[in-house]
Amino acid sequence: MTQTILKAEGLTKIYGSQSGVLYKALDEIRLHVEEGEFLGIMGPSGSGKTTLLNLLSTIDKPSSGLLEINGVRPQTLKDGQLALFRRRELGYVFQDFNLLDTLSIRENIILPLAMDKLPVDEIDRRVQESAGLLGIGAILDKRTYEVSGGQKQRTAIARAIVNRPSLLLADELTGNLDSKASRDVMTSLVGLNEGLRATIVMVTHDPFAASYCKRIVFIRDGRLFSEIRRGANRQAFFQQILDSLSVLGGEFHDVPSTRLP
Amino acid sequence: MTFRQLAFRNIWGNRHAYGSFFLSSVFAVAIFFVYAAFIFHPSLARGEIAGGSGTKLALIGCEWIIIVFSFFFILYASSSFLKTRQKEFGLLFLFGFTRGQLRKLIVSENLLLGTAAIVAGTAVGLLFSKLFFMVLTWLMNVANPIPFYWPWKAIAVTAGGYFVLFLVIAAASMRQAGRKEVAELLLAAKQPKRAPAASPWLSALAAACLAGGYAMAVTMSAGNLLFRMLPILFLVTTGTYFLFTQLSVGLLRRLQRNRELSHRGTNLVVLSQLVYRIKDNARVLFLTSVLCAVVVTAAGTITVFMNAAETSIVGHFPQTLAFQQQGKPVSEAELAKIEAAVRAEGGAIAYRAEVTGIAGSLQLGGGRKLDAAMVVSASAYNGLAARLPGVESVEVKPGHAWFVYPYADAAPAVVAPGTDAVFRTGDRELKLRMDGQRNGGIVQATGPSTFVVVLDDGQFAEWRKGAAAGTLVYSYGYELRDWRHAGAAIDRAIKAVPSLQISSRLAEYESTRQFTSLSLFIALFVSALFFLASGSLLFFKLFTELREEQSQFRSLLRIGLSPKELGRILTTQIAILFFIPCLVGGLHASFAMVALGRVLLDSKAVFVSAVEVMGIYLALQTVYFLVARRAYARTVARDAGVAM
Repeated sequence: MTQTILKAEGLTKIYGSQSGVLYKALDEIRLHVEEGEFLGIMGPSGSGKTTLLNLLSTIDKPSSGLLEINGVRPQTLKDGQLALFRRRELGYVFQDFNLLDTLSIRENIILPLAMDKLPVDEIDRRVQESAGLLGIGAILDKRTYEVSGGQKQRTAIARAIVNRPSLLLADELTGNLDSKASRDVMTSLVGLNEGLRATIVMVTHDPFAASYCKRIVFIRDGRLFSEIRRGANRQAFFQQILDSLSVLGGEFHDVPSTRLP
Repeated sequence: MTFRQLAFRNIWGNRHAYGSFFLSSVFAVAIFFVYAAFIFHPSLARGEIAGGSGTKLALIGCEWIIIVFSFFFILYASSSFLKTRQKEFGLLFLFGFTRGQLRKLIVSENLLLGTAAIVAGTAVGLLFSKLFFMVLTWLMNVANPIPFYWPWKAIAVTAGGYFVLFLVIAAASMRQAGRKEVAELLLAAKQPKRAPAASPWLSALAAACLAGGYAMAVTMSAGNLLFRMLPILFLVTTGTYFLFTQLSVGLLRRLQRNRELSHRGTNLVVLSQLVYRIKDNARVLFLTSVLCAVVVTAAGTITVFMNAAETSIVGHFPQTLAFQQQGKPVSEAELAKIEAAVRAEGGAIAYRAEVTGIAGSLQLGGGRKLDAAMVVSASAYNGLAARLPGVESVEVKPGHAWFVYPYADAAPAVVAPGTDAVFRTGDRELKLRMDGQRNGGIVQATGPSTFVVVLDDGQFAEWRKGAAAGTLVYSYGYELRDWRHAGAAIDRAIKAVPSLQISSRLAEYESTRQFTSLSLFIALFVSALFFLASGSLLFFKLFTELREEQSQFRSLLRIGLSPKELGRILTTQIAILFFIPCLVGGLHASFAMVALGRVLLDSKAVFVSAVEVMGIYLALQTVYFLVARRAYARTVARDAGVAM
């Protein structure tokens, strides 16, 4: 029996401009993510996927609707509690890595643990564990400018999972990487999903990255559009994604039409 | 959009960063202008202001300090600001700007800002010049107030001087711009900074220099003051420079390696940010520390000298009012008149001193002879000595005597214990065995009461019997309570009995006070300028790194740091930047004060005044820190969308 980690019902986000024009970025989104799932969210530019991820990661509040992560409703928390919730329950990976240049790779991973004032031995153990999982054990004492983009992104993932969050959120994490690095990062992510049964929600518009997911939902103009599930074969899934995207339409300028894994 | 408009908008868009820098420039211009307004004052030129020429000379010296300081301050601020705008310049090149055009833009921006600072500074100065003249009138005790006038000459000199200054700086910054390739400029902001490293040798040098300088300061004495002054200055300045560029990085790195400490909460971020911040701002911190040390030391020294001058005046005038009459005592009626005059103006008399002496000359061994001397009885001396702080009583046997030198400060040894002396009045002689010397008079030293010889009561009474009436000296003194503020009572008392020459301590006190407070007043503005400028350099550096900080804060917020924790990181960082120079400067100053205390042999007074000045400095810096933190946190928070 699997547990529902993420539950979103009727999630709506409306932006109002100063001139009084209302813009509905998200419209009645319903989303359930079970423990151990690897969900991709795809959609053309302006479809609302980043807004959705911002809501899920609790750095933005929905206009209406219900959001529950691991049994907690983040809307009901105060600022300080919310920060604590983000630190303990959520892991977040960004397109631009968001590593602090002033810290070494190790210190970047330690950051969430240090904030929780864990004992030094425990911190060391967890850092070694996370770094081992992502294959960055050898570069822990380097500075951020000394390592490659793929290594930076894997550092960011290590930082996101070091607190053993119940949900890992990723935003276009291959957007700044070349194809080799993309493959490395996605393989690591799949490893986490399969090895640790980590629950992952990833927003992307790169079909190649998306083909590593187990399930993909497509959104367009703020609404859920369609949903596909992956069979055994990733190449076939990739083709399926491309087909769905052509049905979806919209702006996908950066979709590489010839790049096949 | 014209060129000038573009320049204007660039400044306006960067107003947060430019703000404090602009205000400091305005302040510098305003002070320069006010001083110039006095220097060129027509009444001064006509010689109508007593003591004006000395003040003028001091002010001209200050003008030079201000202009040289302004030059370096503006040059530094402008060049560090251009460095942060490299990406913007790269973009302009990309849009087809030529190097010439970019230079023109930078020069226009500089001149625009400079002109605004000159206009605003002169306006502020003009507004406050009357107030400045009023304070000067009061401090210099000039009879007629220094009038306000339209200082065309001062306006011309200030505007001209600062315009040339801004022009030179614009030319200097022009050379700095546009030397790099376009791609390099565009990427400049994105290139992460290298981790600062410290050389262990230079760190050790810093520690050694500081330790050496401090050791020399605490063992300083009046004798070696002149030989040690320059080496100490050199050692401490060098030490401070390397303290910020090297030693601080080394120490912070060591703290980071202590994992129990660094892996605890926000320390991780604060420590690592500080390494970068201190290294980046090393030169500003160095300058600020040295300026702080100079300001505190200078102010402390002036206060010490002021206190010393005051104590010595009190020593020269044992009582507030003093007068003397030879031949016959002052009548009770006359004394009552004086007392009534004091009371009429609300003065209160603490006690009346009355000493009768016999004038004569004291012949010492080795042919020395003191003519202005008198003998008094031991009981008269001891009675007053008990009332005067720092004056010890004496015990005299018949045939023996004590010699009293009138001034406690800088007293030479005139009489050695155990020597013989002869006191002569008219043709009478008294052979005395001197028991020693006391320093500090019991009544004002004037005429025969300059040098006092204390005799045994019985011997004195016997001698008085045979003394001619003309040789008897009657000295009087009135000590008033709160004499510093009893000016009216003193003035009235002096005029109460026209036949008596009454002198007062207050007159002497005020003329000394005028000199010291005038120099303090002038120095105050120069120190205020230093203080504001150093603070604004820090403020300015904070804002040039704003964008970097904002993106870092966004990352931290998403990782799950609460706004409160972010606020704590920010506060710690800014607090350290603002207070470290205070701390280091204060440490330097306190060693300077220890040295001064050793030279002046009055360490308590030195300590008190140093603590006072340091307290004022800290209070001001705290205000500056709170303002900076508020402004900075608001800007960062607005971008991150949280309240800190």
